[in-house]
Amino acid sequence: MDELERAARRTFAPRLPVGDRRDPAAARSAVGARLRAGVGHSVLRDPVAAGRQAAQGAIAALGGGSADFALVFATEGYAHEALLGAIADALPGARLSGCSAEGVIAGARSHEREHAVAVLAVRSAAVAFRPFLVESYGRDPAATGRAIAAACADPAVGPLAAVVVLPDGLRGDAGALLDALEGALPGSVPIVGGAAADAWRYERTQQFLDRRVASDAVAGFAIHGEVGVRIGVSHGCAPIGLERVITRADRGWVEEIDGRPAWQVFREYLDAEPDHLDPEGVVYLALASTVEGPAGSRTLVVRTPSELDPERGALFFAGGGLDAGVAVRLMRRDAALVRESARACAEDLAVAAGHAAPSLVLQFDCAGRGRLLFGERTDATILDPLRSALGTDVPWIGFQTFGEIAPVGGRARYHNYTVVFCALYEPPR
Amino acid sequence: MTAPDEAEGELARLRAQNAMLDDQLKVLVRTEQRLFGSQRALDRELLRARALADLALASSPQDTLDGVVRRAMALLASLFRVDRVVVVSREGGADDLLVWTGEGAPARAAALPALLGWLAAPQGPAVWPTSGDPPERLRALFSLVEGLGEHAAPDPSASLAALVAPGESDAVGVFAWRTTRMRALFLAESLSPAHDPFLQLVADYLRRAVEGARLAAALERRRRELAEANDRLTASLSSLREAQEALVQAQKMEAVGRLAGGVAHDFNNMLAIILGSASIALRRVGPEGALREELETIREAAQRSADLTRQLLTVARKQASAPRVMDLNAALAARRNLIVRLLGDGVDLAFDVAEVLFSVEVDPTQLDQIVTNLAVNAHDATEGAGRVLVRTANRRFEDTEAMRAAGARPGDYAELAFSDDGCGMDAPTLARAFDPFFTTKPEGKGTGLGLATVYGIVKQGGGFLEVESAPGAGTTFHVYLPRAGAPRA
Repeated sequence: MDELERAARRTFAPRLPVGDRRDPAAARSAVGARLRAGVGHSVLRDPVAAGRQAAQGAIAALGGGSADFALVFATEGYAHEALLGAIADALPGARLSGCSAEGVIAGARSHEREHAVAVLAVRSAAVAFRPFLVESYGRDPAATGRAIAAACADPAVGPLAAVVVLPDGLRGDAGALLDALEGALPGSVPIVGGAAADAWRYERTQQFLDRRVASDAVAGFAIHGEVGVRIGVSHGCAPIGLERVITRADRGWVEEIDGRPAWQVFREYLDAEPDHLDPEGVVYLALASTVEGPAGSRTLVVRTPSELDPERGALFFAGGGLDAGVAVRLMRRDAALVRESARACAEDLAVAAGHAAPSLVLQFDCAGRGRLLFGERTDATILDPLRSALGTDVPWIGFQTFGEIAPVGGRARYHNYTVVFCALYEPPR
Repeated sequence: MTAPDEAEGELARLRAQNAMLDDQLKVLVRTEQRLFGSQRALDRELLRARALADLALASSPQDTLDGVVRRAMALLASLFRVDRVVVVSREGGADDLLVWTGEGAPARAAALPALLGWLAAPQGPAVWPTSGDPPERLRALFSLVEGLGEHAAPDPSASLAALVAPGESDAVGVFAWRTTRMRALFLAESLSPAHDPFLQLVADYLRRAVEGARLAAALERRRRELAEANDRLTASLSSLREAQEALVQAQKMEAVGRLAGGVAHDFNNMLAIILGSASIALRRVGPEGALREELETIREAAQRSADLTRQLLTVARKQASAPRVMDLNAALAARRNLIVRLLGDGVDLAFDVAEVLFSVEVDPTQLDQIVTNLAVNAHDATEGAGRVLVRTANRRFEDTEAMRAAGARPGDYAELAFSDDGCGMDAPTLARAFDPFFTTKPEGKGTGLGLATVYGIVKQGGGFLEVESAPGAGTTFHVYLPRAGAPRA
C-alpha cells in the first residue's frame, strides 16, 4: 500500500480551530456565553404541520425560549414555502437558512424519504449566525463567491469563525465558487457545507433564506464569534489501477481519459457493462484528483459523475476542477472503508478536541452513502458510531447532499462520496 | 539486440503485463460489485423474511380486516420507505371499492372502469413511469385516491408502483405506492414476483386476510340472522303462550259467566218472588205485628242476594248498561273523594294523569264499580298504609296474537292504571285474580266478585285488562278502555 492509498483509507481531518488559528485553546477560552442548540424533525406529510412539529421539537430540545437562528434541511416532498413559513411562525425572531436534501439527519436518525424535515435552533449571546442567499450562481460562480464573502464581512458581530455554504447541487461550478470565496475572505476562514439535493431526480434543488425559496442559488451562513470550529472529512473509496490523465474536458464534462471516452473507461469496470448511468453506477465508481497537502503529503479529492452523454461518451462532474491534464485515479467505493474511515475521522476529531463534547455537529453526507449503500442498516452502520465518538447527546443535524465542501490540503474543496463534519465547540469557562 | 531495443522490449512486456493485470482487476471489481449486490439482496431477503414473520406472528384470531390491512400497510411503508401505500378491495363482485389510504376508517368509493378491469384481470406488478407508458389503471388509482380527498399530487415525475393479488373468489387486494422516479428504479427489481416473492407473499397474506375477514363477516351475518330468527321464534312462542293463557282465561271466564249468568237469572226470578212476598207480608203484619223483625231480615237477605245476583249478571256481561262518552280524567276527579274514603287515611294517594286523554264510552255506574273495586283492592293490599298511584295515559296497540287471543282489538285506548305498593300477588293468585268467587280475604270479608265484576264491565265495553304483580312488590291493574268513536271489531 503506497502513501496515496494510505491517505485515502485514513481520515484526513484538517483541524482548524478558528478565532485564533495559532492557538485555538486561547481563542476558546475567550468565549464566555453558552451556545445552546436543539434539533427537531418531522416526517409528517403536511408542510405546515411538519414545519411546526420540527421547529417545536428543536425549541424543546433547546430547553424552551426563543432562537436566534435556525437551520432547515427538507426533502423534496414538501411545498417548501409553506414549510418555511410554518417554521418561521414557530420561531419568531429567528433567521432561517437551509436547503433541499435527498435525506435529512436529525439526532440519531437519518430520514431518506419524500417527506422529512430537520430543524436546528440555536441561541447564543456570544456566537452569531448570519444567513445569506446569493442567486444566479450558475451564471457566475466566482461573482457569487465574492458576493458571499461581502455578505460575511460584518466585523461588528465578532471575528468570522467559519462560513457554511449550501449551493445548488445541479448548477454552477463549485470549484470556481470556492476559489473566489476563499480568495475574498479575510485570513483563512474555513468553508464547509453541502450541495442542495433532490430525490435523485437531478431536476431542481432549492435554497432557503428566512421565508424565501430560491433555486440556482447559494444559501448559507457565516458563524461569527469566539467559537472553536473543527472539521473532519472522510471518504470511503479505494483507488483502482494506475494513475490516469484527463485528456479532454469541457466545462465540467470529462470527455476522455487516457485518450479514450471517459464512459468507456468507467463502463469496463461496471458489472454487466450497463448502457446508462444508474444510481448504483453513480456511486460505485468515482474519479479522484490528487491534492498536495502540508509537508508534501498527498491526498485524494473524490468526485462522482452525475450525468452521461452517451453520444460523446462523456461524463459530467458538477463542481468543476476536472480539466484536461489533471491526473486522476479511478476509485471504487468500499462499504467497509466508508464505515471505518468515517468512524476514525470522528474519533480523530474527538481526540483533537480533548474529548470535549461539541455544542453542535453539522454533518454533510453524500446521498450515495446512505440507504443506497447500507439499506435499512444506515443508521446503525454509519450514524451510531459517529455519535458514539463525538457524543450521543450532542445536537446533531445534517443532510444527504449532492456534493460536500470542506478544506483539504489547506484549501476549500468540492468533494463527492464524502462525509464532512463540522463541530462547534464552546471553550471551557 | 541493442540496449534501446531491450528497453523497448521490456516496456512492451510491462505494458502487456499491465494490461493483463488491469483485465484481472476489472474482473475482480465486477465480482466485488456482484458480491455486494448479492449481499444486499440477501440482507433485503432477511429483512423481508423477518418482517413477514413479524406480520404472521402479530396475527391473532381476534384480528379485524382493518387491523390486518393497517399492519401490512405499515410494513410496506417501512420496508420501502415509500410515500404512500394504498390497499383496495372489491367486495362481492360489486363495483364499490373499499379503499385504505391512510389513517382512519377505509373509505367506500365507486371504482373507475380502468381500475375494475385491472382488478378483474390482474396483470402483475407495474411500475410507472419506468415500465413504459403510464398505465391507465395507475392513473385510475390516482384519481380514486384524490377523489377521496387525499392529497396525491399529480406530479408527472412521481411514480406509482402497484400490485394486484388475484383472489379465488372476489377478494382482491391492490397495493400501490407513490415515490420518486429514482426510488421507483430501486424498487423495480423488488416489484417483480419473479425476482422477489416477498411482495407476492404480502399480497397473498392480504388477500387471505380480506377473504378471511369476508368469510368471518359472512359467518357473523349468518349468526346474527339465526340469532334474530331465534329471538323472533322465542317471542312468537311466548306470545303464543300468553295468547293461549288469555284464551283459557277468557274461556274460563266465559263459562263461569255463562253459568253464573244462567243461575243468577233463575235465582233473580226466585228472589223477586221472595222479595215481593216479604214486602206483602210486611205490609200485612203492620208496624207492630208479630214476625215483622223476621220478615225484615228475610227482605234484607233477599235484597243482598239480589245485589249479588246483579254482580253475577255483570260478570256474565248480561247486566243492562247505559254507556256515555266521558272524559276519564274528569270522571276520576269527580270520584277522588270516593277513592280517598275507600283507601283510608293511612294511604297516600297520587294522581298522574295525561294532559290530553282519549274520551271513552262507559256507563258511569259501572265506572263507579271499577274504581270502587280497584280502590278496595288497593286498600286491602296495603292494609290501609301505603301508597297508591292512579295514572291515565293514551295507548296504541298493534295487532298481535296476544291481543287477538284476549279478544281485544288493535287501536287506541285510554288507560286507567291503579298501582299500589302493597303485598302483591304470587303467580297462582294472579292466575285466578279475576275468577268469580275467588278471594284471598278472610271468610265473610269478601264475595270474590270484585275483580270479576271489573273484568266483566271492561270486557262488556270492548276493553281489556292487564295486571302486574309480585309478592312484596305491589300490584298494578291496567284497565284499557277503547277510545270513544273508534270502530268496534
